Amino acid sequence: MTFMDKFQEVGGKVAGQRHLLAVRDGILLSLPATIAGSIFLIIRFLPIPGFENFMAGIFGQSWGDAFLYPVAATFDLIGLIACFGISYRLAEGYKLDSVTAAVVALIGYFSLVPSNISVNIANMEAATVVGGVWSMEYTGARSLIVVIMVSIASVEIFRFITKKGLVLKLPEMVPPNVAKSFTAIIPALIVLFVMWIIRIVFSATVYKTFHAFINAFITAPLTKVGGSFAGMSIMIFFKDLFWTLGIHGPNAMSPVMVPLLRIFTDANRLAYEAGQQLPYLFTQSGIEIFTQIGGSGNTLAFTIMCAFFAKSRQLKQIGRLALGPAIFQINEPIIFGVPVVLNPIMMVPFILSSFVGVLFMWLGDITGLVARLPGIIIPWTMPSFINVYIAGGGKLSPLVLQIVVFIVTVFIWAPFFRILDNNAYKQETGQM
Amino acid sequence: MKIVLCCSAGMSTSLVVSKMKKIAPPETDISAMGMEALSTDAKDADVILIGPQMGYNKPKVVELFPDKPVEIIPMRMYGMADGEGVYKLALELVKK
Repeated sequence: MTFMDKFQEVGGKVAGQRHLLAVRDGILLSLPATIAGSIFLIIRFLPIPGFENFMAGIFGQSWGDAFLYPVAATFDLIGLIACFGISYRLAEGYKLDSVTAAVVALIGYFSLVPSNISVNIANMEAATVVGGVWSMEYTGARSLIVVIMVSIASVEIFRFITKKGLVLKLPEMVPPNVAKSFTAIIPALIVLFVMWIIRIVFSATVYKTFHAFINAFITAPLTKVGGSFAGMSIMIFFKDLFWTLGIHGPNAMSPVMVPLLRIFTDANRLAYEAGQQLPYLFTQSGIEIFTQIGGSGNTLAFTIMCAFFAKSRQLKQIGRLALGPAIFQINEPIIFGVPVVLNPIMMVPFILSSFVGVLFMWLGDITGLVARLPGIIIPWTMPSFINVYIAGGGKLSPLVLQIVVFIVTVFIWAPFFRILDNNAYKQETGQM
Repeated sequence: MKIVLCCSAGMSTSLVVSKMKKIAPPETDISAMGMEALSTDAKDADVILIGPQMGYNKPKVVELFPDKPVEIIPMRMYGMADGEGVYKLALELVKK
């Protein structure tokens, strides 16, 4: 098993790598906010006939706009919160003054953001430039890739300067908070200078901004590959593979998957608000809804089988224990109790059931049978069948799809459950 | 006695914690926390147990608390939420 050991070791290192960890934790900082904001989004588009007229009758025609305010305050700040969060966590990991480092990262990031926008006003030939504004595209999910790059770079510069001791040291009698803010001056200066140079260089190119350059060269191809059936299937495969090696899969894959899924989710959210076609199939909640029924690997079917249909005492015990958490999409008891880890009989249906989720999502989409999810973010622990109904904005086709996927996973898990149960039963009754 | 369990989001481990609290004497302080909270909230812990899916963090935890017993919870014990087993393990480690 030495190859497995090596893979586990590597996997462990990947999952624990400080930059990836910081990216994950930093972006996740906005999760409670976006869940809360989603509630307003859900109410705004509540699929009850007559609801819209009812609300317009009481609050006026623009009642809907008011409900979108909290959505903007949350979703449109995903990038900003991530900038603060990533730099904070990374600095914390390095045992630096994390709040100061986060502030430095924020000013570093905004050094790259143009402070005007170009608007095309009807009847005017040239675009009008409005000064004194920062466009929301720079604070939202769309800019996550640049945010990640700048946050990490800022903290590394901060760390380098601090390590070299190139800081302004004040005499001992100065209170620590004052001294701290002074020591941050030189790192802040360096970060500002670096970002300033980058800004000037790119404004002279056809891209005009560093953001546009990164969007063209990194974000666009990444979202194309990551949002494709093949790309997403591969990422989910690795997420499940990590679990089979005893490593928290979603955590390990999140530095790659979360930024992408946030970008997809937010793009869908904006289109949903504007009543336009939803651009992406795979959203944050979509992945959770279709590939994590009962937990990663769509283990709910297996869990139910163990709890109610097992002959062996062992599986019956695990099933009963795991059923409660499974309803809330937690399946560590299954992963570590059966276990799934390093157990081929479980690894195969685990990965297969997950893949079926992605496959059917894709099939439902290309046949036009299943509606895309509008970018509502729900807590990942929300029970199945309820979660898809809410995240789908009340649409029935995603709910039907989830039920279909669940039924398919029943057929996948059944034979493997039988084998496992028979083996365990034989062991218990001494027939082996 | 203070026992600290370390895991990724605290959710899976809290199952183990509640099982442990059922059999441990009432004065025992048992809690679950993520890696980030360890350095502040586990300072007075008598033993630190790590969930198996966070096993790769053991060296980091040992570095944080070189004079405390740190161990990874055996996989089966964790998966089955064997609170009794984990509690006994904690006791053994503290005794050493």
